[in-house]
Amino acid sequence: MTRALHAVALVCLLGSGCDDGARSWIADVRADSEAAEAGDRGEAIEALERLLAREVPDGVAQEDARVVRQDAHERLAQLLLEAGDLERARRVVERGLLLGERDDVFTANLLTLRGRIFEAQGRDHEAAREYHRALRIHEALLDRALGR
Amino acid sequence: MIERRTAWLLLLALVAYSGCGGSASSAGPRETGGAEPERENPVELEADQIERLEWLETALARPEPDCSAACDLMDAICGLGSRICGIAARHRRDEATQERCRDAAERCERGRERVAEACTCAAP
Repeated sequence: MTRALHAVALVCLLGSGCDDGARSWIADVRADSEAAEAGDRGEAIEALERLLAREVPDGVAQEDARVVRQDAHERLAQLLLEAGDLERARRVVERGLLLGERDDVFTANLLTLRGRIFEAQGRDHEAAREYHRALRIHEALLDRALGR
Repeated sequence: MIERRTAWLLLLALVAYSGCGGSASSAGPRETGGAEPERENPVELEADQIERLEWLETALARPEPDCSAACDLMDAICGLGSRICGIAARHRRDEATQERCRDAAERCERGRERVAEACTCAAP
């Protein structure tokens, strides 16, 4: 979450298309994120659900909102998985992926988590498929990291 | 990544090499008493030089590797590969998963080699 929020906050610092609505959204999202990190599991789940329920204002670029929200979906699903609520965790991951799949760490993390949920549900074949998809994205990111 | 100073020295050497390649003599046969000396084709030399210059420009333009990210990504790739192959071990007759395991293992190995060429990662 920190990385995703920093990216959005940087846009505001540079002043590129960041109006009052966007600044307010970033502040609220940051507060929810910090609450999620500080609280117990139940409080963290509530804080992340609150974050995801916030309407994204027009002043926030679509891709910026996507990465912040996908990161929040992943964190929420992770908590639900740890709590044993597998089906709810899977639905949260699905909603996160519906925001758009890219060759980035946010999509890869959601696919990996979906794999873990499938594996916990005994759906091993589907789990392997999701892990493989995530692996291919990580490989593409490795290409970029190595400058190729 | 090739160091810029080294790259420029190579470029100078390349230019010097091409310049010393010499053009084919238009004179008659030499009185050497043996086989004629090998003639170099200037068109081929020029094409070779262009290819080497393009390689050099590509090398100079290549950014430095992000080793911290590369090491993390390599770990993620191989970690996912382990998960896939763990599943494959439980389902020997699932051919698609067996294939994914083989593919993942290859990608993990390839990733380790590529990262090792450019970076030094901390031991896990």
